[in-house]
Amino acid sequence: MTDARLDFTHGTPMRQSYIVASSPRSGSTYFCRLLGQSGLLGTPSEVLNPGFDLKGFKNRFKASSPADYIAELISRRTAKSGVFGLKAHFENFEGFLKEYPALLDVLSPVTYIYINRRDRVAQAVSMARALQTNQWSSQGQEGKKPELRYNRELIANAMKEVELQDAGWLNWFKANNITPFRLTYEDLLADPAGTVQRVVEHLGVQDAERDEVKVPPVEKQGDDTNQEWIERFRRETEGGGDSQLGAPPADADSKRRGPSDHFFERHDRLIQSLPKMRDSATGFLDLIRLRHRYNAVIGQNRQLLRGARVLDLISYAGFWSLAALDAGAASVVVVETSQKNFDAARKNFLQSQFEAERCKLLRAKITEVLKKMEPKQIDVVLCKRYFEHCYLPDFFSELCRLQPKYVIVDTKVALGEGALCRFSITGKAWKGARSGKIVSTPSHKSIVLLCGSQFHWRAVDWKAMDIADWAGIQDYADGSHRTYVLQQE
Amino acid sequence: MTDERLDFKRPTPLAKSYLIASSYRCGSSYLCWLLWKTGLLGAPSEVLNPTSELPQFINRFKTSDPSDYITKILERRVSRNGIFGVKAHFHHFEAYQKQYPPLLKRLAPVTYIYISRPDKVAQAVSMAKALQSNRWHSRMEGGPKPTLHYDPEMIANCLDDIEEQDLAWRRWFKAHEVSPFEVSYNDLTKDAASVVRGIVELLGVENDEPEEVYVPSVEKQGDETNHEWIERYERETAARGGSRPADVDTASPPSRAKKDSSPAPQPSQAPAAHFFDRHNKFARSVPAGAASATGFFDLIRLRRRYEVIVAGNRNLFQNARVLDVMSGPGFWTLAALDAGAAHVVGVEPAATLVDSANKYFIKNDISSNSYQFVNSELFSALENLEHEPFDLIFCHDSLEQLDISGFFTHVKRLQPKQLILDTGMVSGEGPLVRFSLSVDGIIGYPNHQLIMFLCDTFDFKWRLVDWRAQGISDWTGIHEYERDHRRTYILDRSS
Repeated sequence: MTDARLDFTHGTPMRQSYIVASSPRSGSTYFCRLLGQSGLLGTPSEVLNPGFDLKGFKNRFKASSPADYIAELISRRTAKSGVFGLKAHFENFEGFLKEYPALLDVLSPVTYIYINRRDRVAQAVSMARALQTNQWSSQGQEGKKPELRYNRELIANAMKEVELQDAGWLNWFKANNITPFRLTYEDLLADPAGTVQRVVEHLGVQDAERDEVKVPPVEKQGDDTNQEWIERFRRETEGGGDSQLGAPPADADSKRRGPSDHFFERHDRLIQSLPKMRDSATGFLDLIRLRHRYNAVIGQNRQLLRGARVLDLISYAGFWSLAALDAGAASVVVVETSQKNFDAARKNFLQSQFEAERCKLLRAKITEVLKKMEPKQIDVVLCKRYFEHCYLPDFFSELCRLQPKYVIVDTKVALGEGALCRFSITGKAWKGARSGKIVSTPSHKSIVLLCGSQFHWRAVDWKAMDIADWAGIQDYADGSHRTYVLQQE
Repeated sequence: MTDERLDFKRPTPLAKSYLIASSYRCGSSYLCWLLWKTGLLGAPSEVLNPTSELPQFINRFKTSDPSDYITKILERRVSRNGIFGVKAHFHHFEAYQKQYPPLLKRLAPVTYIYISRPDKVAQAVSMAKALQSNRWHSRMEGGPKPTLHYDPEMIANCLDDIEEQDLAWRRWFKAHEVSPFEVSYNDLTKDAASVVRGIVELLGVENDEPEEVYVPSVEKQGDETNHEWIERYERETAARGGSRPADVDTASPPSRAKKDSSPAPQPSQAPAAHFFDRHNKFARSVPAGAASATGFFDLIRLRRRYEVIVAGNRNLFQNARVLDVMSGPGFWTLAALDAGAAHVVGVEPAATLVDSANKYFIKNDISSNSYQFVNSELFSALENLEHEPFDLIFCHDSLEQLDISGFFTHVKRLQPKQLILDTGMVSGEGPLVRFSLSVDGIIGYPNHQLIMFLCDTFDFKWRLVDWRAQGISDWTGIHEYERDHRRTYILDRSS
């Protein structure tokens, strides 16, 4: 949808706008394409979603601020009718508004079109399925069919997520005294043309001149599998059987150790207090992902951690360090680079049962800490996501000097032939703003080259970890994220 | 030659080794091929040559540690009868031994085989041709034929270089009381079989069972051009009564077409002689790329780079406050001053290089107000220089050793008007660097998209110095630029 070929060239000034207020799997993508095809309502898409169209447009426009960005959008995507439209899930809307409070003034007058789905279970099933396959629209559906598994917990979590997103919109409408134009997915399916016509009339542009719009078609993704899952979920949760929210996915580590013995259950409060990482309202995907990563980084490496002096580079509010101590590490040195993370880690350490002398918390630049350390002071380095944020040749030369027995690495891995490192910008970087950070992602061959003759590498085999459901961790399945254990030769 | 398919199938402990003491273009590659083919004499190749096999093996073995390197070579290249062979030109042998003194102990006992070519002019012509075309053996041939020019100065330089290479071995043998087994190029072309037989017997392996080996063939490269050049050179030398073709104390400037657009020298400060002629010894002291024994080849390369990068961009240096990134022995610092810079700060982490630069500048009465060398790690120096205004940041030889995005972050803070970046380049889609191992450790070359990405992120506009538009017809020493494996960028600050 960000393609320049979809831009209008007539430069009609915007007279009014509309926002399709949606939740995931509410049929909003399909709805927006229909609106676009009318030729009267612009090209509504998820322009505020940082993981999606926002990224594409921003790169294209080289916008230097949110104001600049919205101005560019309006100038290119306002229809001849003078209407500019966009679609947003509540969390993206809220996030963007925070960054750019003038948004609604610039878009004024704004009409809100609220779309939801009466059948919550069907919506949750659709979301669970998209999470498992990582295919969010029919356009992404190519190649081999991904394996699907019915997963009750995942559906229950998705339901909670969808409800929270809906509630987000409804609360906001209430707080701002807004009465949105309401639609349901079910109405839309029953009468697509009529629904679009109602919107056109609601905006009063039925007599305006039409644009010729070539938006790519969207097809309905749901199939028999959805129907099966919906029925099964209804059957299983009938009779008030609560869907057990937040229940952990079954995994090898908890099976082996017995469920109540798992770090995640014993430290539930810590786990629930961790800062949100991903774009989900309830944070349930973060937890699924974190638990799998815990199993790969800690669970698979218990024997290396037992009795070890650990250096934890960035602890995620103390989570990884506490997990290492819990797995039997003798002591942990944690380096946090921001005050916020340092404070969060300190709080969690104080609340933990571990003796204070076993955790040493430092607030410093990682490179500075490494420089000051003596060789053989550390047995295991825990290195999660740090590869992308450092200059690897320098980091490895420090590792060679410090001579840890093991380095446990969890990192994004770049695709491509040979020992290369790919550069990109992360964060909500507006061009020229300082918030964006350059990251460089190494390929597997780069890691092998850097290990050289100093470290023997092996990759933790995620495929052997008895993972039934890859929702939230597809990047580990496709090899673009990996866990390594480097052992000193 | 470094391909793992050429390794011997199983490691054999070393019983004895031999070293072929060679000079450029004396037939040693052909000799190595013949010896290797016997299946009795290891896999002799130039494992110590930092311009060919050495970096390839280093990347294959993923180690730049010399002890480790020799171990890995011996594990793979000793034939079943315990023989290891290596060929080395003296300056490569010397450099490696300096870096790793136990070399000969590791290879002991060593038999030396000294190969030389009686017809030095023919040898020099062959070398000049290889330098011009960058084709050192028959496997490097193919593709469009390079343009070749008869260049008597270059042949004279090659002649000196080869004589130096021969002599260096003789001096070393004498000093170490070694009597090498001698092979002449002429014997090799006349009766190769008996030369090989002689060496088999010398090493006492005639009764061993030969191993089956596959070796890529080596063919003779010489052709009509060689004969023409040899005859012409000899004729011209005879006409001069045996003297050198010209006063070629320094390497000649690149043959470039006279162009009106070339920057006119400022009359008020027009130097009497070319920068290189005034600072010839200094230019010679710039660390060499190990491509020749006398260093003349490195000098040709340096001079040509100077011409395009500095002389061709005099306007950027004019009255500019310049930061010379990794200034080394100070050559480029001086070049920048000579091109009209108002002040140059050179940053260099190696104290010995800073010392030698300071000494040279003092000795040559360079005004001490016009330069300063900072002996420091680069990034901490850049942090400390934050309040100093720079017009131009000059990065001529070090981008591949740097954390490139970190470098740009510092550069952005210094707010120079311009940057000159001269760097090796790689290919690939999307902004990236490619890592490889060099003798000095890991280096990473950027691709063009990374330069664009960084310019976009840090607000610079890039343009390229067009090496092909310089009227260069002879690319000796600068083939990297000809093939777009190295580029010179000029970056202008956007706002």
